[in-house]
Amino acid sequence: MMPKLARGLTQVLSSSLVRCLSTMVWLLPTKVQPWRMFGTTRLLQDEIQDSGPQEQLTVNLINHLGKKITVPVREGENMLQLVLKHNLNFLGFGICEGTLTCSTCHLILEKEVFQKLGPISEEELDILDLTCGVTATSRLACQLCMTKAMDKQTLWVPMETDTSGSK
Amino acid sequence: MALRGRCGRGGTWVVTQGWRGGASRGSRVLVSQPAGVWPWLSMAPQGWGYWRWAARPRALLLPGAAFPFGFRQLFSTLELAPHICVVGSGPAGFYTAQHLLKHHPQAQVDIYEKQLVPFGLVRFGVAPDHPEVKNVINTFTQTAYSPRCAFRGNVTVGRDVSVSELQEAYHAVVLSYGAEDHRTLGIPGEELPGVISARDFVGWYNGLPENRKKTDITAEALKVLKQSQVQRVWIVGRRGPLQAAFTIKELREMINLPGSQPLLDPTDFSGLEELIKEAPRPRKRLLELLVRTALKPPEAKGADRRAETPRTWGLRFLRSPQKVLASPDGGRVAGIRLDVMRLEGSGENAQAVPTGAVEDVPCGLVLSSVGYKSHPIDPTVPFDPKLGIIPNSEGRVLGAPGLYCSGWVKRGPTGVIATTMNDSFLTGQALLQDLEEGVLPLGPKLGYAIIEPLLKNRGVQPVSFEDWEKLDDEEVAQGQAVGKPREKLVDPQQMLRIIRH
Repeated sequence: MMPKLARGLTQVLSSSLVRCLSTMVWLLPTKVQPWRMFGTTRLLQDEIQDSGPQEQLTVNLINHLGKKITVPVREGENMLQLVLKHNLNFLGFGICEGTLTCSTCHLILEKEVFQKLGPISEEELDILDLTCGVTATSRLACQLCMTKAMDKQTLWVPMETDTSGSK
Repeated sequence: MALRGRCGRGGTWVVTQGWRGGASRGSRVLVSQPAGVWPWLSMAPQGWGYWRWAARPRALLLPGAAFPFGFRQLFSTLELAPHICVVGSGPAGFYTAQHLLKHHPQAQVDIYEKQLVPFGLVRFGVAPDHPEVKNVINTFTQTAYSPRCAFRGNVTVGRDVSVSELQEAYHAVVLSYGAEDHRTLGIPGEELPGVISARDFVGWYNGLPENRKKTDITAEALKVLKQSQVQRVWIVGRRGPLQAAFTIKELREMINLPGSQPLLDPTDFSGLEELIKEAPRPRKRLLELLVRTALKPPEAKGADRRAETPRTWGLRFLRSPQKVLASPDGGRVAGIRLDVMRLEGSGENAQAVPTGAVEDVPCGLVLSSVGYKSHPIDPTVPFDPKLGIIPNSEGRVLGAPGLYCSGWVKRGPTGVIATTMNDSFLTGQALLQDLEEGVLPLGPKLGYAIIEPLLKNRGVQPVSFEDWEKLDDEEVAQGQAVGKPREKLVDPQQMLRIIRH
């Protein structure tokens, strides 16, 4: 009885182990897996770090529920790209993907910060004119790039609750 | 014939028929011992233990007060998940689905669509020279890829399946079928050849299948438009510049349109200087641009220049169509009679009132662009014909529990995609709130499992999202051959053939 049990057990364990091994190969470092050497994607963060040492700036984003998220950002980085890169969960943010065709990447800045920013283009003003809940210190994230003036400042992501139309 | 059984010693016995079949006594023979370890784990134990094993509870009992029976049984996750049906796969349908899928971890959402292809007006109603507006399709595609979301195209709700049948199969039904009709001018002569709705025109050059059937166009729309003889386009509105509904973005594009010249009359804006100054910023910028363009002298570089830009467009304010004038033989449109209007009141609520004077404008084509209109989808669904919407409160259809609406059929055909998006999120929110509060039926619903056989019996061939992707690939491939982003497929029969391949 016991020898038979031992034999059966060995059979099962060895076949299971073989099956596990074939999956465990994927746990080895990427460099060792020759079939995965090609096509490893470079992260956007890697690209930015490669371009030389720069001061690490941060910006605070507050969503409509009042939740604050602090994200690291490079100078000159586009704010819409920043939101997408960090996968911040703003539902319906930037739906036209930065082509100045919607108003969903609406951000509200503090007055002092807003005044230090560059001039707003006519095209951005056109869209801001159509934006629900627009304020005197509103900007579109897709047109806004990070500056030192925005370092450690707060940007509000308002929720558009008015569905009566923007006009 | 053999009967198998188990004996107390852990072996298997077989009863065989006796020689000469049945009459003589059969014998019990021990044929095998259980071999190996693996079968022991899942097979029933042998011997007396078998009966104890057979009486085991098969379902996991969990404590929980939410369910009617006082405990929750995990017999099938699919049956317990809320099944929600969305009718219409345009922005309203997809954004509602996106919201539901995001905020409920088990919700199963089925999106039904009348056409073979999804996305509604984003595909059929956006001008080809504005591809960036269609970027939202990427978000919709991500939603459709969710394992809890299913696209069912080529199913006309109201004809192939009724809303009551959907309500039987799903916990909730969201109506997001938009506004597919156009409002008519309601004037004599409207039925003459040469009078068409702007919506049909847009549908024609965007490849809406029903429009192709209506017209005799066999050549591509582009070929036809290239040969266009149109030289002047008048855009007519019954109120004044302070009430114009176009946005500055559109106006700027029209002014800068290559190969055409704006014809604006400065006298349209005389007497409005004060009002312009006091207007809110959007209106003020719009009017300032209009006045600037009206006062700008046309680039008079001689007859050559005018020959190069023969096409012009202009705005006519305070004019309302009274009657379409026919050609002498009565066969086509030859002009339009416009009532001259004046404004009573001011601002957004100003009303246009006829003065009695008329103006005849000769023209070869009249395009009416006076608004879209929804139609009632099903006799059981309440509908307000005057407003052209489904009566609702925050997306909950009045007098019809379990029915919701979002998009143009809820608010009327106004607003941009962002407006529809927020509106759909609000409907989604209301639905999830009802689900949580137990307003919706809690019992298990089978969703598409019930609808699928119904559709099959009725000869309906639903199209899945994978099928749409086959069509998408085909369109892109055909477009690449001619240097376009895509060459739209317009023939439903051809599309079904490609899907079946």
